[in-house]
Amino acid sequence: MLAGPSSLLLWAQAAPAFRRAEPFAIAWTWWLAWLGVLFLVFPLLVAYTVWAERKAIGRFQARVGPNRVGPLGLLQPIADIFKLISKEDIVPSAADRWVHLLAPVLLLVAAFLGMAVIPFGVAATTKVVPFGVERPDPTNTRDWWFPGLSAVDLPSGLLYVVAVSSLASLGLFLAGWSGRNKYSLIGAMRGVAQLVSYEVPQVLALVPVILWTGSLSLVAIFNRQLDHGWFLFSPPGLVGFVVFVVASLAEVNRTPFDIPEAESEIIAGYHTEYSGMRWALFFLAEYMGMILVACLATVVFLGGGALPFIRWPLGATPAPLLVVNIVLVLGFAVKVALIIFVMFWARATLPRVRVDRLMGFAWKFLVPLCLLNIVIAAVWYECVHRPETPRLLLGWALSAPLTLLAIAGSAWAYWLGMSAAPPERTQP
Amino acid sequence: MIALNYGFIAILLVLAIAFALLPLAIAGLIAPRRPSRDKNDIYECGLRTQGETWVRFRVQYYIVALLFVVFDIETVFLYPWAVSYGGLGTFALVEMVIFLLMLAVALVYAWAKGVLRWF
Amino acid sequence: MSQVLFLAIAGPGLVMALLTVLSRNLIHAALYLVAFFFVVACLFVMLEAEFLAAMQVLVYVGAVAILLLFGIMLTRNIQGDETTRTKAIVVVPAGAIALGLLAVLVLTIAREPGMPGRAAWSSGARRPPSAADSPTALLPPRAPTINNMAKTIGDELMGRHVVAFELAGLLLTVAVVGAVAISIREGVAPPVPEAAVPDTTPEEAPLETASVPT
Repeated sequence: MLAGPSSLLLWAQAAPAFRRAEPFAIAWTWWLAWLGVLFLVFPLLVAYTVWAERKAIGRFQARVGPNRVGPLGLLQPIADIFKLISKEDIVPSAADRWVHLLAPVLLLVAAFLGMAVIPFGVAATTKVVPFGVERPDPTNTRDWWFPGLSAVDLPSGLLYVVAVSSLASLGLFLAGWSGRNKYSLIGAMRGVAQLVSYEVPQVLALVPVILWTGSLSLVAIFNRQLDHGWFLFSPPGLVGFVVFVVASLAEVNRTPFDIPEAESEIIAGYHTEYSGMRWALFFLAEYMGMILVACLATVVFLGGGALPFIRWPLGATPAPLLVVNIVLVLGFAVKVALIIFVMFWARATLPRVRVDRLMGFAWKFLVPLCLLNIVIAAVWYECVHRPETPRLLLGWALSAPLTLLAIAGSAWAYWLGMSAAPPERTQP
Repeated sequence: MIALNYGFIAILLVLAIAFALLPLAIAGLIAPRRPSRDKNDIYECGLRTQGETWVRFRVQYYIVALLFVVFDIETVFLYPWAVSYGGLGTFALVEMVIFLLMLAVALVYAWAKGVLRWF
Repeated sequence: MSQVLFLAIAGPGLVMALLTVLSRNLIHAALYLVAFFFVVACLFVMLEAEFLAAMQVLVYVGAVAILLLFGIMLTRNIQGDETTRTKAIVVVPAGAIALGLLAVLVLTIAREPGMPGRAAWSSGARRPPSAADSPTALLPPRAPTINNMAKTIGDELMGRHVVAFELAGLLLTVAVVGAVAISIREGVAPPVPEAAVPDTTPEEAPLETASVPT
């Protein structure tokens, strides 16, 4: 039972309060708490993200935003929930009933499952042996981990997140198909084409980080950044972060990539045939997805909750666990809020991208750039991560020009590809 | 036990499904239900729907999906490579560059044939 | 315990596989197949191969399913509720071939003697000992593989199986080139618009639209 190292049991070994209890009981206490967080805190967060978006967009458009229900309109999301739940549940008589029900459930499940591996802080301030180490060397504390404050710490955590979020494209297709509505089917086909196209750069943008960490565990990635500084502070990391955020924007169907629900041409796209609470599930899934990608970007590129450039509160002698976690979770929340604000900002500023440019941007610019970025990341690894003392100057001198060259090359290829294809209208 | 972690994930999966279905059940209890022919019709901007919905779509979509599968499988190879790169070194990098070049050939071919042109 | 769990997972998987074959609606059949893929991922988890499980979900449930569905959308008008009629002349040989294949598989798998030094797969829940248990055993070290499968796979791919790895890349390239060559004809602009709606419905007066005063 205790043989395999999982963060949970390691945490149990490390946390003094639980040291004497049964591991199984600890596991389930820990997980029960997490279920509470996942199903109570996150839906509430979603509700207030919606409120924040309406306020922010209102400001962008020189309006006030919601201000009637409660002070500053703070009770608006609660009122919305009651409104939605009391609306009639309409399923078109021509629809495929079960698939119609399955689609929003699938989208929501995809968003919830991903949250299970995100480390928001640390579960203990003593380092433990990571996954996959055959014979732990007690004298080496540099490569050990702080166990993460996440529900589970899977050795393939990053891949797991990517895998469960790829369920969303299936849900989106089924939503559009099941309603037997021409517009929603067109929206779904476009949406899935967009989702799968942007999933490729999204996944490839994460490869540099894996390369530098040498593990797929999100806790390991977080810990690596405690030792080496945020992954953002390197040319390939910067490119990876920007590509990841842009691709994630497309993954959650946010403006400017909201072609699948372009209301000016295809009504509401894939969720045209959904109303009331069923539609609310799509809404919830979309905002959960937003929060999930923001969390993922924070853990992977922005060092989790860690402060930039300094190792406090997790230095050689860490602060008390509670202090550490207050700092880390607060830092985490601030970073997530910033990324989400950028998403609002993009929505308020940018018009919808034309469909051919949308697809071209993914395949002709982001994918080549990501492939080149992986090679540059290997160069950065050789300069900074492999040597005992990092040669930062050499790393920047080598990889910064290469990165600029890669961006310029991809942009040139994109321009060439797009200008060689004048849109010829075949639509009757 | 890593498999134990998946026990939690299985429970999370079940609860997430329940979380999605519960409000629907509540809505089924308290919401009004007055179906009518027009209300339960397909919403296509107020006109009666005409013709078959589930029709043939063009081949571009299929090719994009195929490219996606290919690059997804590339990911399957890239991730383990990236994990073990630290212990391997230059040879691994050369191997991966060859692999990436082959896939780049596929991408360039599709590109040159105009598959990625959306109109 | 693990036997019960296996049955609880594999039983529905079998049902899903059957429904895939028996379903009249192509999209439903594809969905049952996806459910079956998911069951396979669960079985990978049971075998403590969580990397493979995640890959299974990513590639099969996330990608191959989309390929299948887009493939169905490419076909002409057969995804709907139309039922396909089967004749005895087709059913009997097909059934015979399927049963024969099943017999071959069952017989060969049941006769599989197992690798030297390991228990045969059919001998129940007993597992081969890991290197951590007995350092002298000539077995691949299981514990690090389970705990960080991606690293083991990466090492193997870059070491022993490097030729297979490059061949896989070549195969993928060939797949794309082949599909593109078949689907796109030289010099012909893609004639099918986004949704090729066959406009066969007779023109009729709109039912609910009022005449708009100009």
